[in-house]
Amino acid sequence: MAYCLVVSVCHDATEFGPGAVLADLPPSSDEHGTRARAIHATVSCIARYGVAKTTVDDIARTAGLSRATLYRSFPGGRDELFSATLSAEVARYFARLQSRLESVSDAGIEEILVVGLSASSELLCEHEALAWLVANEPEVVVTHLAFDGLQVVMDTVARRFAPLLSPLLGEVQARRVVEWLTRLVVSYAGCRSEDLDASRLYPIDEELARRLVHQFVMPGIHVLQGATRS
Amino acid sequence: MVADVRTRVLEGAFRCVSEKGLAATSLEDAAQAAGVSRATLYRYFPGGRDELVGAVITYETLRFFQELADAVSGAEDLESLLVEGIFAAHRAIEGHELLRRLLETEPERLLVQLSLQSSNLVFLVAGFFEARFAGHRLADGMQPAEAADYVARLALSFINSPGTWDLDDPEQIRELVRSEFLAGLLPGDHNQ
Repeated sequence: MAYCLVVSVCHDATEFGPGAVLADLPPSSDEHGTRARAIHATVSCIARYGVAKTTVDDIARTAGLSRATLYRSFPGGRDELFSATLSAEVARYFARLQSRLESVSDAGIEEILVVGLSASSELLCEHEALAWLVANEPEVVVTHLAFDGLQVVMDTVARRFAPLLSPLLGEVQARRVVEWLTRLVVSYAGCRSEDLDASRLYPIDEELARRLVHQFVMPGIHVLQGATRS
Repeated sequence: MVADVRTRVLEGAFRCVSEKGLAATSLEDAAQAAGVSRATLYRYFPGGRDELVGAVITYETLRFFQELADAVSGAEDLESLLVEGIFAAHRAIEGHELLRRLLETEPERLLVQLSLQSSNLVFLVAGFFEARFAGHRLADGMQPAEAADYVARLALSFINSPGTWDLDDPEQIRELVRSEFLAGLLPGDHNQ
């Protein structure tokens, strides 16, 4: 099944990742709690069975909720649940990336870009459900990695993170730079040249990020700034 | 002789895919279009239909990049090579009928095949650039292999997805090439 990336702030974002235990989650007596449990359970099921094979019953059982409760929160059924889960996971990813960036916000643009590049890549590649899908159900993921799907991903990431850079670079260049880094994350995630295994994700570690930013991105930014000024 | 039959099969299969799409192209269709028997086809593609479909996509991809390489063979320097290459590639991708149709009708099937070949593609395109960078003066500490890998990845990304750049505008492409592609590759005195 195909579903679209939602370009919006998602009210379902929770700090509870796959490692959280059900007991840590908000009680299901309130709406927010129910949604959080359901979304957490959906991610957990996808990491084990994939998208096509995960049923509403699987999710209900894992969440410790009745089908009725689930359908009350997600009247659109399975499609709505999956769509909400995607939005929530994107929002959670962005929140984690944001907090990594906050730790270097005073450090100057090169350091911000190094952390941005390496953290965004590492957080992506370590996502269990995503890694399972890449290995076992790639058709769910690939449509977001090229052509129009990649446009949407770059747009989504740029809307969220270009504002962090625009005080330093101006709006146009900030957007271009965020897109540029997104391209690198996606390209390297898809393959290392030496390794032909298409079924796993390859992160850009700090050393490579530092090399890419220092050697290619910073000189490029100087040219972009120079071209704007002239 | 062997190469001829294999090519005939691939071109026949390509015609089938153009008419019916990926999912609906059977081994029988491809064999018939190529004028060979099923047995012959299995000899060249023992993995059957899936292997054949993958091979057709590879074949067309290689043809696409060969045409692109030919189109830029006269470029006088690295900047022109990249500017002309990106311009031509963008147009060719936008105008590729079968690609557009498959992206509309069978995007998952097509993109899974393409993603299986992504490291081969990076390798192929990087090889092309590495040959062009050899003997060219590069920035301090920059090796042709590293430069080629970087340029190949970025080029492949831009070819299918332009982002906020207008790749129909040669001036924008020039600005893009000078900044994101070449600023780190060329020696420090280049942009004076």
